Amino acid sequence: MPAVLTAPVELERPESAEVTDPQRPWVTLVWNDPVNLMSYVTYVFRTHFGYSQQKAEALMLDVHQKGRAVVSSGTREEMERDVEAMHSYGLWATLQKDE
Amino acid sequence: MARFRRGRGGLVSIDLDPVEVDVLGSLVREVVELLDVPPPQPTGGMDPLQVQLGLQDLGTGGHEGPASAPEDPALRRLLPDAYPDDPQAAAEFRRFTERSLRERKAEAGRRMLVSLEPVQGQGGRVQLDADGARAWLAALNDIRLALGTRLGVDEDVEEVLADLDDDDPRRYAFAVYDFATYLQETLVRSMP
Repeated sequence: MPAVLTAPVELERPESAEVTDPQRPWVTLVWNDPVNLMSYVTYVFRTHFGYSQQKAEALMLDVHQKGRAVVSSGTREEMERDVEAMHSYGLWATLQKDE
Repeated sequence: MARFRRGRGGLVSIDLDPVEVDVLGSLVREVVELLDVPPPQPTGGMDPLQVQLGLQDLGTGGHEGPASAPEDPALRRLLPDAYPDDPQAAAEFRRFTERSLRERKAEAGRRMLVSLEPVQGQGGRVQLDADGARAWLAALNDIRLALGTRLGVDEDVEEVLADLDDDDPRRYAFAVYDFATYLQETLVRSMP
């Protein structure tokens, strides 16, 4: 059965794959939702950000298990471009100043 | 049930029966209609944020989109707010991005419709190159987002289906959703 983001998975909780950098003060967040497939979200992270399969999967699991994950950081303009791209893929993404 | 397979020369293909072609065609047509870009607002329908900020005289320009989120929950899921805690920034972002986002999503849907045309009525094999596969992947996802929002999907759809009575009117919609999910899953795994 295809696994959606909110489907239960039995995996050990991985180390956080979140990306933060004081020089890159804005972040793009992707939020958990019950429709997007785990495989598709991983595909989007690989394709749009050029992340490795391993990193993309770790980020997807962060979204899935913690409800949201920081998937990129940078200037506000860069994050607006990432959020727009996530929306065109159908992921639920927002941006904010890094906390 | 129909599924995508990776074939030779980087193509992905799927064999669809006539009913599957019909179902996919009507689903994607509905999403394309949902995404239809609304005509520019008449001058009477001033954006409340502009009014609040005293910017009534600026207008919205030729290519700018709306400032407020769509009321339809399915459409709102397709075009979400970028700034959840900052309505002013969210409105500005929407004004500059929503129109092109709608156009890109509708374009993916129209590409899917074009590739279904040759198998309309009798069913058959649909073959997609990398661009076509990307368009189908995006369009299938938007179909599932819209349908999933309408159905209030928040748990395992196969379990929901198993619990519904045979004559429950939602049965068909959930089965269609499940079909779109299966297609998307096999397409992701077949991506070049």
